[in-house]
Amino acid sequence: MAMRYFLLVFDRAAGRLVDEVKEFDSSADALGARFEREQAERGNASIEVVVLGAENRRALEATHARYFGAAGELAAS
Amino acid sequence: MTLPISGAKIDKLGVRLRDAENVETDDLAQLQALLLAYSDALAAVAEQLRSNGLAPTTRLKTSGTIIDKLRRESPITLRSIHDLAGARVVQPMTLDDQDKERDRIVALWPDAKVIDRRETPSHGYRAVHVIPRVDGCWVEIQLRTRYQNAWAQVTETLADMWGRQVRYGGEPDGPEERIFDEPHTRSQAVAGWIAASERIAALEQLENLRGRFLNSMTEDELARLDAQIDQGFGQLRASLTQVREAFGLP
Repeated sequence: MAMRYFLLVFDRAAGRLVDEVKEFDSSADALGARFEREQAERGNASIEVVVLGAENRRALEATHARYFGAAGELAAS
Repeated sequence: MTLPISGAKIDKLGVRLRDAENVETDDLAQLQALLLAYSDALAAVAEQLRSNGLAPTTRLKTSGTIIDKLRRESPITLRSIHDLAGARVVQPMTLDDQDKERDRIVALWPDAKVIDRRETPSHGYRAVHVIPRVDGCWVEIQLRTRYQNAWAQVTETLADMWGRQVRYGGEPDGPEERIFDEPHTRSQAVAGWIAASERIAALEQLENLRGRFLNSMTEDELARLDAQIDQGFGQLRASLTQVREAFGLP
């Protein structure tokens, strides 16, 4: 299984994702999207725009649980 | 991919990023080009780990946290930051198994640096880091047991809520504020969480000894040790579940 790349926009102060997770085949495409979003969020110190790579999202929830604190709520809504 | 600018220029870029009140657009573009090179090195490391049966996840440091680190750890240079690119491997394993995995990873990159944060924890943080240099880029491989990772994830969440300085031994924002309905203050909660890391370390060491001396113990000794380990991990899991639920972690 190939690596997938997930773009996450996380609000540190609120402790939750503020945008749906976008998924990319290539790290370069994901990084390009990250740089654009970082630019848009400039000046908002609470917002973290990050690209995580994994075989699937479940793997990320195990190794980077912090980002998915509110993911359950998003999935359920 | 080769680095887009020379080493000296990378460090000058780091100084400008550190000192600027508002980062120049050109400098941001240079940082992005640099991160693309690190991304290639990170992908190569992840593939190598995967082809050796490990299941890494990866991340590149965000622009904001890179600048924070340059400021916090000044006069650190941009080139010397080990964790611009990071791969993380988390799996159930004893401490001896963790040593074996570390050795297996080092065998892939014999010149890699090794930092054992089990021997020298950083404000409670425990893990093993293997840091190879690939195409001029450091890539930090974080090798963690499940409990080491669970502890680190909660700490990150505390830092998100109460200030990043919590990760580096600083007092939380609003140290005297009470948490939830508990009588504890934030400051006490952070101190308690660092103490929890020591409990995890002690239990992992006990579990490790069990593996080492399994064949030389009597049935009674083994049963007593197993009961002690089960009780310890049971209490730890209950505490982790409580904390996870309190902070909404999966």
